[in-house]
Amino acid sequence: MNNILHVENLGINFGGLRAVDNFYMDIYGNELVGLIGPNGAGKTTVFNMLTGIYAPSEGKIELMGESIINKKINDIAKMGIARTFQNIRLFNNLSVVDNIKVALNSSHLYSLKDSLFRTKKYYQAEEDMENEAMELLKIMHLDDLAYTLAANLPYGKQRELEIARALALKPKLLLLDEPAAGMNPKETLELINTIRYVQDYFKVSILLIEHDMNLVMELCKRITVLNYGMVLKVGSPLEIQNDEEVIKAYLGN
Amino acid sequence: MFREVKKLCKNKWFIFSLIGVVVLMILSFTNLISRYYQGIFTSICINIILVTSLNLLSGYLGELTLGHAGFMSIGAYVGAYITKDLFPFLAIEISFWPALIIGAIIAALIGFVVAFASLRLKGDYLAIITLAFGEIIKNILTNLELVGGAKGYMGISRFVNLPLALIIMFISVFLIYLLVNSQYGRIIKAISVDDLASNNSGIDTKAYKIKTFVIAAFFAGIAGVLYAHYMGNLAPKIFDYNMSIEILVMVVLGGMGNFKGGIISAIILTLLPELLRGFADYQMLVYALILIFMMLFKNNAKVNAFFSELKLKISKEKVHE
Repeated sequence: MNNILHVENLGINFGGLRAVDNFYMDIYGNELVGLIGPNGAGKTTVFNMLTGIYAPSEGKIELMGESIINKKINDIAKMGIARTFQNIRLFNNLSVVDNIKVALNSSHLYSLKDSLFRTKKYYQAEEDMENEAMELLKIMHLDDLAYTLAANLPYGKQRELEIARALALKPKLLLLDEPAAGMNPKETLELINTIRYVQDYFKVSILLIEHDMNLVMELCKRITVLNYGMVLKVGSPLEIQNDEEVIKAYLGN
Repeated sequence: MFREVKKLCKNKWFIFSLIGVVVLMILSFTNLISRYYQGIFTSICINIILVTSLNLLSGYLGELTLGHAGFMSIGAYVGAYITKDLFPFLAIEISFWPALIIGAIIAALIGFVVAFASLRLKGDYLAIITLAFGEIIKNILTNLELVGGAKGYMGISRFVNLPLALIIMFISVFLIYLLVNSQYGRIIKAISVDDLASNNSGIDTKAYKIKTFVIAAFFAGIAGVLYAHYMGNLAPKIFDYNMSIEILVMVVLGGMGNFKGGIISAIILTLLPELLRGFADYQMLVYALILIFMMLFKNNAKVNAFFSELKLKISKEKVHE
């Protein structure tokens, strides 16, 4: 079995608060999994543990069989977990193509010496980076905006750029934190197509947090419901929709 | 390298500055400008190096630091010690060059230590730590009899003249320009807006912060060695926080992370106190007022509109002619 992500017994305390408890999850190759739950359930905390921002108090996280616990954030990113953020975090002072180039850094390394003396390696790396970034932007339909400042993009395009930047790391697992937040129905529809396309084209597994149930039910094959930091239910969209406990968690008694 | 120069030759600012440097060199070789003006232009060169290097740290990386005079003083004292006491038997024409490099390297080493110690700090806290570092250096130098202590360090060879300062300034600025316009520059700009997002994009942000401190300190050290061999004597109290703040003011006024803005403001703010000598007692007062007005009106919509209209008018008139 091609198990991409294996999470077991994951927990974290913030002082006396048990934010996430006994969380488990398995993601297989090229799969699209949803993580839902009411506000404050601990979904983003799980993301932050998966990307190394928080160190879990206990538990196992394995990416392709290799533990990522206590690894540095940038090393985890290089190992193959890339993410987007709930509130878009682009490099607003850089152009669209430069945003991608920053994320391409680890695959096109050249030293300060190369940039000081403008060696052959510098020109080669810069050219490769430009080509690769433009190719990626073309796939994401952002190539005509390549040289505009990221801050000047419309909202929907900023989301797409953030996804493109995450893809530049060539991840095995892509984490999307509320990608449809603040989007109108038309933009959400476009986003659904984009996510599907990305999954097919890059053969990447995707884990997404979302409150927009249309998007979740449309896209995800499997859904994990989180409530008060604990896994409430794992199942297919149909199972989740008809589960009484899940409905109770969202709507109350 | 050659390709880069070719590209730069299409940049009118590069051409302007190149012409400026060449003209000043010819003027000083033919003694057409007085010693007084040569002195002012030399301090402008030193300030340009300081501002561009601090711009890397405070402008591009966005870390507010108030210890740049500290790095400069290390370069100045180490450089002076090498030419005066370590190799007094060597001609200054020979000993100046190792002094320049070693002074800069020692400053860079101290930059590494400071960066390492303050890695977890940001914003105001980093500013305070670097301010304290500057004061520590100053106090150590005051108590170091080896380099004259509080009396000051006298009798350093006054080897630096305007042409030399111009050449070293031009090379330093060019090197920093090459760095800023590469992947390194892209990354530190990214870190300045979003530390976490760049970290999550596989960038080792800590390593880049340390690198930037080291590079900025290196060039501050070069400026220090130039300063020492231009002034001929050094006193620890020159390198106090006032000087750091003065350099920072130049960076802020030129625009954080604005390459040519920093250079222009270094020129203006070095000339300004000299031009205000006529006001004698009120010199600092007028200087402060001008600074305040420049800050107020730099990003004022009405003032900007006035200037852009003026530009439009001028270009239209040109078309009519």
